[in-house]
Amino acid sequence: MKKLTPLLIATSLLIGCGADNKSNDKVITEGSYAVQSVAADYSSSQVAIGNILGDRSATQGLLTQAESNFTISTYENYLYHIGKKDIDTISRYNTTLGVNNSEWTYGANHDDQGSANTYTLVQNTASNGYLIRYGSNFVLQVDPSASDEANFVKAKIDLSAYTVAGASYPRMVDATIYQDRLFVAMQRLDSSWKAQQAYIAVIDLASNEEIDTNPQIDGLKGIPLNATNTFTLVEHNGQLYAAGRGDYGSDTGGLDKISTSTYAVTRLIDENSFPELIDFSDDNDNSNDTYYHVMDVAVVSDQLAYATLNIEKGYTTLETKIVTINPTNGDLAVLSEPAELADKKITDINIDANDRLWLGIANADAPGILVMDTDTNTISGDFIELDMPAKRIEFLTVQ
Amino acid sequence: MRTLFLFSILLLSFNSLANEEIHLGSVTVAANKDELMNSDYQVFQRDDFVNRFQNLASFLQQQNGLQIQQAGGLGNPALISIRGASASQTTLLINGIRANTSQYGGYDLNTIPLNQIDRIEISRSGSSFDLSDQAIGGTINIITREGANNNNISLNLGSEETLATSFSSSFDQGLNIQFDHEQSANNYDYPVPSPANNSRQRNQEQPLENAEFTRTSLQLAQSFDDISARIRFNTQRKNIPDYFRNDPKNNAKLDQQDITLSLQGKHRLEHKNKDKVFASEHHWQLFQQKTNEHYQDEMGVIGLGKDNDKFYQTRSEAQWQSKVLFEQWQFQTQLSGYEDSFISRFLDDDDSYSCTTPQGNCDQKAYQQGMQILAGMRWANKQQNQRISTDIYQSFTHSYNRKRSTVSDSEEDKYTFIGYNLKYSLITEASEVHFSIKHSNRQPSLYQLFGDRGLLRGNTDLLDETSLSYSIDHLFRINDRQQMNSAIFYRQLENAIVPVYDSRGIGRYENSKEAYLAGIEWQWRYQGDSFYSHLGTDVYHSESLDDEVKSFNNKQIAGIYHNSVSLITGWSQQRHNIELINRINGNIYIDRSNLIAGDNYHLIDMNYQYQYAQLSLGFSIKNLVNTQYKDFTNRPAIGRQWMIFTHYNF
Repeated sequence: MKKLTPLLIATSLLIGCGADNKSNDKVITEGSYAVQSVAADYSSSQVAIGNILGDRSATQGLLTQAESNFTISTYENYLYHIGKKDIDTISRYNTTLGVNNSEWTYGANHDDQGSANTYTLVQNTASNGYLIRYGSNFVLQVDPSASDEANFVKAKIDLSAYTVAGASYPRMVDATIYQDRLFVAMQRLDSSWKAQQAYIAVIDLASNEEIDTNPQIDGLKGIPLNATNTFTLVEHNGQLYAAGRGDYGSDTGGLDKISTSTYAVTRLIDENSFPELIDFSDDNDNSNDTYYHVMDVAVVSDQLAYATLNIEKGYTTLETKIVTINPTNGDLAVLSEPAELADKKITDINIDANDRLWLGIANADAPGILVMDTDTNTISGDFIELDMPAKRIEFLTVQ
Repeated sequence: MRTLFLFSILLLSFNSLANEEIHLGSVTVAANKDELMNSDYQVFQRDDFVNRFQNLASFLQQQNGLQIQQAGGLGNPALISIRGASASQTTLLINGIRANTSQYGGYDLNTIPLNQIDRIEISRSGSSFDLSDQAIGGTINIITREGANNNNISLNLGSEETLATSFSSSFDQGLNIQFDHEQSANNYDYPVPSPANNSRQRNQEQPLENAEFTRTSLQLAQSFDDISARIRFNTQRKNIPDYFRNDPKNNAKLDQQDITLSLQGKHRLEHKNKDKVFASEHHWQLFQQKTNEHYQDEMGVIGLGKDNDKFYQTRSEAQWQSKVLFEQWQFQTQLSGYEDSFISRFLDDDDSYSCTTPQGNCDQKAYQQGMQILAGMRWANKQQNQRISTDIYQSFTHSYNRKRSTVSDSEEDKYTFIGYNLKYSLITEASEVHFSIKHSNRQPSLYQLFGDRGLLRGNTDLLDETSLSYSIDHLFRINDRQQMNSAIFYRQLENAIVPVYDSRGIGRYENSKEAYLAGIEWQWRYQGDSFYSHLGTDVYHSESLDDEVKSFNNKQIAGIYHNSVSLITGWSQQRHNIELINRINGNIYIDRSNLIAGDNYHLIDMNYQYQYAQLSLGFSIKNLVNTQYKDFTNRPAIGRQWMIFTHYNF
């Protein structure tokens, strides 16, 4: 009955003590991070922004939405707030002026059937970028500096050839730009959501034509990957790194390195890489087996990269392990330190301009961000507390 | 003048009933419209809603302490919240049979056309003597119309090409036949987020495509002195609109056919013991309902892909209830058992039979069996100004689920729960006060226990939701024309079942720790010679505690308006009756993290009736001033709607 007293007080106020929408703002003046976070029941989402150096505490309650299907991309000081499935909008904010008012909001599904479900915007110049759309057969080439929606979409790039028979689209999931080419990773799930061979399509930016990466073989022009169900594609020093989680159950997925000059694929992580993380019982029941799944990758140098491995038992994530990779010699190691990483569920990793590793912690009871020095593998600064699990971490710069 | 079923009069007539005959349910007396509507148990008669409201949901949302959760137009499921409880914590009974499905725990208030309803009973604070209310929030019992003197025909026309017609006729030997048909295009203007033909015109208002609803039902009822039988056949189609793009090529639809058979009996016996006479009454019911559903989405517009799915459900239930009245004592026992079975088939999914892809659909079979035994007692002192009633019950539930293809990985779960209701009442000529304690539970649905083997996983470790509620309900008759109802209540809820997703986006059901909800509801009612008015408010305060999910901890319970005000003013003169209904709802969060506050809104509805001999005409306008707001789902609500009623008794 301890709640009755405040109730009686509240009663006297009656109508007028309604729920409030929070209205925060954040103006950045130095290098900053932005994080898209999502409620544990996917009923709402928000963005948080803070400084990369010094006091990193987050300003939360930005861009709150009653949907969870939002993600972010960044380009210099611009933050793009992207509505994914059944939202299909993209809004641009100049974070040096704040995030309360967008510069523009444009549609992202163009003339597609159904929702385009945009996953990310990759941008190479102030006036050129590409919308990578999970629910579409087309990449949209866009002009982010366009002052009206009519001039936003510049061209469409058709990747429907990668659509698996019975499916509706190839499920492009991530992309990166290196020199004069756009690399688009596609999961290629079939109509039953089974992962077929994943591919990276290579697009010549000058012509918007797809490059045939292996003219000696008929068929798809792109780069076939070893690991299925790609989640992440990053580029470092002319090398692509593609993390694929594999299917649910007994497929560990893996990590592939792809040369942007020869398109040769090197397997860095596969199902044999970490036998100590697999607990398999031969009883034809996957639900009691423990497997790792490669979810994300971040690269510091040609000799150091980090990947996240979800340790899953059946359909339950037990924890996330961080592993280090030497992409040059293939050495692998499970990171046992720092202790702050123990029993954490990590949703995203990213490398900032100071070569620090940022880790989004999704444990619902204490979500936040850990920052790690990659030269010592020790925690840098305080834990950045968030109200909700981080889904994506990106960085902003002030010119 | 209206006929009301009055809970309180039962007590006042207790002694005389003991020596003559007993009325074990409620007692019918003639009363003014505003008399004696207690706040913990209300009964509404047919005249209160027929020819005045478009459907049951429209009527119930006028009542204090009730919130209707319906998104979209006619045919969309309408759920109800009683005293701030979630819709799944509220029970809907149809003729005493639970309408909440074991598969999802849900129900649809508008399953029964309003014209087929004879009486609506609403219980809030819990008791087994008025109606069997063991729900965390409260219980609504819909009594359908049957029996003699039920000869009428009606035709209603409304906005969005809505048409409703019904015909009912009673024959000799207690036979009654009733036919109902209703349909609506539901093509109201809707702000489409990304129009299919012009996606740049975001939130452009367009008539909603593919939203049609049609339902036809036929009921035969045969009543004898002690036994009655009913068979009802219902067929309906609900087209599913694409609220996102409003694609004109969308043709998603849900077809449903159901057939219901019920047989019930009531036997009254008198017993002599020396010079004492006491009576007993025994009520039994057998019920079976078979429902087939077919969901088709050829374009894959609505879900994650194309659908051609069939669902088969069967519910069987048997109930026995005996009551004995002896002087100041009344005793009751109830025994009931049920089985709900469920089969799903995803016809166009190659993998659904073997279910090798956990993200995909899975053909499955499931059932839930339950049994409950209840014992209750009611005592009143000789002055009839004090009464104690109590009941205790134990329920057993067995849930089972397996793939259609194999029994090797079947799952099952068993629950036992002991609940109780305790009520003490003080009654004078001018007032009534009821002190109640209710210990209730809600068992996880089959879906929550076992999932659908898709992205939202089941959890066989789920505990049932339990609650302990305290309430004080007060009725004060100010004078012959005015009365005041009020209630104060406090509910402690543990293990509420909620969906939670992990970092990969895979959802599962979990128990949250606990939540509190307290509230004050009051209503002032005035009945003059021709003018009447009701003014009421509901004020709730709630807090959910969950230290395992930071953003849900110390937050207001989402999805419930915490402040409501209603004002009904009416005028009756000879054959005319006109009333205005004002409703203000506010203080709601859409999400459990309390980031998104929902819209506060003020709606005005108007009803008019004209009665001439056996002919009744009328019209109603919902949302008279066309208020634009977003509903509890954060989706734009329907604007102004109207309906014209014609009804003739023959």
